[in-house]
Amino acid sequence: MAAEVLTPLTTTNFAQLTANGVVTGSSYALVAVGFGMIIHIAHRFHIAYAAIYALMAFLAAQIQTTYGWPFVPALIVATVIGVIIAVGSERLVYSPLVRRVGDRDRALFPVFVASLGLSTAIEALINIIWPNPVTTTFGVSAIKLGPVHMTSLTVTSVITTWVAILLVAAVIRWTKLGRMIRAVRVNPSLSVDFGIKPSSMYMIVFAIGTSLGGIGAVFLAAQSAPESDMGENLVLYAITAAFIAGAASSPWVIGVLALAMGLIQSWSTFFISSTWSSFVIFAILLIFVMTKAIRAVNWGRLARGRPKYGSGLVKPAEPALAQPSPEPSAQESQQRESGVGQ
Amino acid sequence: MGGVVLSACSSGSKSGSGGSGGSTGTTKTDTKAGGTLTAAEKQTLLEMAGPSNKSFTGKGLTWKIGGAFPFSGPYQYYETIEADGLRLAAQHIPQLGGPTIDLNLQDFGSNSGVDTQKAVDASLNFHDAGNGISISGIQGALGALIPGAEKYKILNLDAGAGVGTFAGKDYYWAMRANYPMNNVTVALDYIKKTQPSARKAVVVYNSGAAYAPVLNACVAATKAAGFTVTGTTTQPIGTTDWSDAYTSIQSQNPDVILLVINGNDCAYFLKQFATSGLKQPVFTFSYSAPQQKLAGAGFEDIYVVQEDFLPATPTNEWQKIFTKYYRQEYKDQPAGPSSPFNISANYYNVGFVLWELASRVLANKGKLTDGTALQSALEDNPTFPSIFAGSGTTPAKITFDKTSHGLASCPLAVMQIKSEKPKLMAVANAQGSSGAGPLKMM
Repeated sequence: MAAEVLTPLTTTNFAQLTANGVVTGSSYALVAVGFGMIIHIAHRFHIAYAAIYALMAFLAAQIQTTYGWPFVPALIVATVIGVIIAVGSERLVYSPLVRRVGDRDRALFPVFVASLGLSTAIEALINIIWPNPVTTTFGVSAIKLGPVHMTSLTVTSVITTWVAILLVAAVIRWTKLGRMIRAVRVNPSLSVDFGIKPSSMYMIVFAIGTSLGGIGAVFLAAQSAPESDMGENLVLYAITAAFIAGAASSPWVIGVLALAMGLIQSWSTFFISSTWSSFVIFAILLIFVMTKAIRAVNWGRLARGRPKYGSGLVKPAEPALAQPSPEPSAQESQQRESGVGQ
Repeated sequence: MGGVVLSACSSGSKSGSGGSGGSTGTTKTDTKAGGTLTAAEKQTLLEMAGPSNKSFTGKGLTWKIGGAFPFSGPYQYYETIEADGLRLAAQHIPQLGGPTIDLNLQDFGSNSGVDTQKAVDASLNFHDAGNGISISGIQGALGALIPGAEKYKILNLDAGAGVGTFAGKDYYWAMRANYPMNNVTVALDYIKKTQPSARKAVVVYNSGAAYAPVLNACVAATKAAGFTVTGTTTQPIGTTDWSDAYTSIQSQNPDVILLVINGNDCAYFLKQFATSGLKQPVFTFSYSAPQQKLAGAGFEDIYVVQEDFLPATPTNEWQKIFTKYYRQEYKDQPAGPSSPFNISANYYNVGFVLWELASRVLANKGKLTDGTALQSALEDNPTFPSIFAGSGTTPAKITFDKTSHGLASCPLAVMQIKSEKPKLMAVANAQGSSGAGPLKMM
């Protein structure tokens, strides 16, 4: 029987797969930056991002189909609705949950569970409203750049993606709003003392992050059709990119990392079946984590027998008589989280 | 006559067997009226598809028939198109003087497609409900219904696919050409006639071990037809971005693309195909109104090989009646010249095959709850009227293969999509597990 043929490594194929990788990587980049901002700055494991991402795609397609609106207005309206839902979930679900727990780091898991519930509800809602796929009929024309075949839609999506990411990076790097967001990311408690309301910053971060997702979702759906689970894998890739990039990285860096992931995934079809190309991303994450772990091992001491791990992985035991650091009161936590009481 | 029966079918009440037996599956009820056939339509249907022995029609009897379909999960769409065809038949047959058909429909759908445990439970439910026969989809819920059919001696008829890897299983029969192998063979015959220089083909299909047997069979059928297979391009079910697959196909430089993927995957492939730079002719074996709606112009000039049924230009009166009432009753489904789907027509056809079997069993003084008697009735004469092909009030025929339990003969057609409408290009009969009769160009 004929086995699956791997794509031969030729100049033409390399150029085409690079172009494919740029398109794919750009769609990863938007989600990675959007989701990364929310998790790094607001410390919310907002897994419902994937469901809201799909919802925006469905809304844009439905608006376009029902009212015949052009691409851009449909995208804007769908994104605004997505932003309202995302900001609403932060305001009405996550934030009260964090206040109840008293600390945003300890609230990470409860927020994740709440977000998972929200995600399930939104996906179910999508499946009820749209039991059959919604057709998108945005005009698409073929573009040939030398040996590379692309479409007007994919070229536009790549350009829009990087303009949006650079814009967000610039806002965070050079504007007063960006400085406030960075301050909240580094130390929300301290930022309160400087007159910054973390809760407001979080909502802005949710709005920006969701808007980036909206752009990506509507472009991606226009290439095929919206699907209720279309954001799930993308969020997993986003988590990978955001995790590797680290909390302190600029959106630009996270975006480039996500782009690299798309390229590697596309190029991998030279060497492995395309069936397995999506697993390449997780292989990268695994290698990254293992590298971190290996670097954290104190090899010298390991050779001598003990301790087996360096301080990077194992926190030294607390002295028996050490006093536990006082927990902030619920009221203090609420003030620091919401910015009230400055 | 019909009015009383219709009210029973459309009452929305649960079927008599629903909920019995310990099944965890969901029971569906009928809520459609099915429309009232005119006297002329009744006459036509009786002439074309009614039981051969008019003395045993089952009038006045209530026949409990099991049905297993995916009411949930990604295959839910198949429930719509399959069960709706069966429901329509169940609503028309009593109007024609046949038995009242009490459908006991069970769900085997899951988030991953098929829940085989639900399918097993459905078999138990059919047994407890006294169903001597059951109709199923997704190839006997990927085989999980077959052990129950054998154990409880319930004749199971799957009209959504060929027998595939379940050939020759007792009590399990499939009322379709051996999809997609027969279809691929017809496509290759057509290519040889119309594009004699084309000799290299690529097969595009789903990835994964579960799909490997079908992929390998398609490759074998392609080679047997004298073509060189440049390779296979596979992607997981649910793929929406086919760009890397296009690059793979381009690098193989085939003369023709055999697109064996189904449903939305096929539509997404074709939606992006027009701008992929590939110019090779594409032959697909899955075409329906929802796919046409999804892919839009992506279907332009694409060849389709499936059962000989073009709803926009029906060739026989049976097709006309089916199309009229299906469109009238199922307005929630995508409309258009390719609606209803050929598979819905096949499940409608199944209803009339069942009626013929019931008539034979009753003529032999048998019971309609006796799966063995029903299977014997099928084996005694495995030829039945087909809704596909035919002309006027003369239907074509389908014949079951008593060894494989699939169709030994079934009318297929080669169509080309032009301005979102299928145009008939050629017809041929599927023969055996992967063969085809002489191609007749239109």
